[in-house]
Amino acid sequence: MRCITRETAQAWVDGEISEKTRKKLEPHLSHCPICQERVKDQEKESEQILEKLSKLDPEEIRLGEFKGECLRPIRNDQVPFRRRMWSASIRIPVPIAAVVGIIFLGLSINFLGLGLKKDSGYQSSLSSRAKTTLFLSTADSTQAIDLAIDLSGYVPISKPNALFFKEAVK
Amino acid sequence: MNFQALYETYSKPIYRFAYRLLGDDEEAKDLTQDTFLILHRNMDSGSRIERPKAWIYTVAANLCRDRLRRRKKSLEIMADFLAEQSRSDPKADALSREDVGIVRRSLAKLPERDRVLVLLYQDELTYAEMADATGIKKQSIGKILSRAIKKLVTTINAGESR
Repeated sequence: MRCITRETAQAWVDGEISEKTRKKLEPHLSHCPICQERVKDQEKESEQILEKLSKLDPEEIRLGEFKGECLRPIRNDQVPFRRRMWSASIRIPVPIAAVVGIIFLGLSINFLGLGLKKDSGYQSSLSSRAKTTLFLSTADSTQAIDLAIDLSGYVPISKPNALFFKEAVK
Repeated sequence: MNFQALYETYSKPIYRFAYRLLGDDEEAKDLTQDTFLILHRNMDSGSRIERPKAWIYTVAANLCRDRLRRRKKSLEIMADFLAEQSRSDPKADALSREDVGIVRRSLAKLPERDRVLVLLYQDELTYAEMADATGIKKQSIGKILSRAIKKLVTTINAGESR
């Protein structure tokens, strides 16, 4: 019979060998010095490890009683009806209102922001155009500026027409 | 066995197991509580637990692994951390601080699976229970365990002889 492996020696030490295998191994182990040595080594190492690992144990263990009931999560059917309804009345409409609000706000900012931008852009471009046109067509710059200011106040949002200014200046 | 009996029997061993593995009192307490909370929920929902000891150790070992992974520390850093823990351990002061440090560092050098296995071995779990708790085949337990023990002994002895 072959000598036992380290693994089998470990199982032998730990009493994890089946009765059948034990009966098979016993005759060999009783007269094989190599196997006997192996088992002895394994036993020694295991004892050594258990002794060393016990040094890691805490000095004392203070654990309170386990209050299982306190820690149990509350099931939905245990919540009072009123609270459930209140919770449902908040849970559904609030996110919807929030989403609608955000969309509305976004659209408003977008609409107003672009409108203002467009408007002011046109205003300034119209003013400068008007100023230039007027400056070229009139000798009096003060009058031109006044007119430009007046014109900028009445400019429509639509794209300005160069002719309109020429006509307006005349 | 009812919940209270299981708690009384296994809460301290589970705490010890977690403490050895995590090296921190608070974490070990949290983990013990989490383990028994899961057990309580299972028993409360009517689930039947065939082998409660293996079941409890399985939950505890999994929770320990999660915590160790969450720490996201390399083995080297872990070893330093455990050594640091040993320095603030009052028992370590009373006994041999250096010895405890060596054991902790050596244990931390083992792969996570082997570390858990060795500690389960210390808690006298059978191979079948260890297999349940670690997910390793029962036939492989002896092999992995003997190698882990050998490695641990060698590392500890090397540390002590320095």
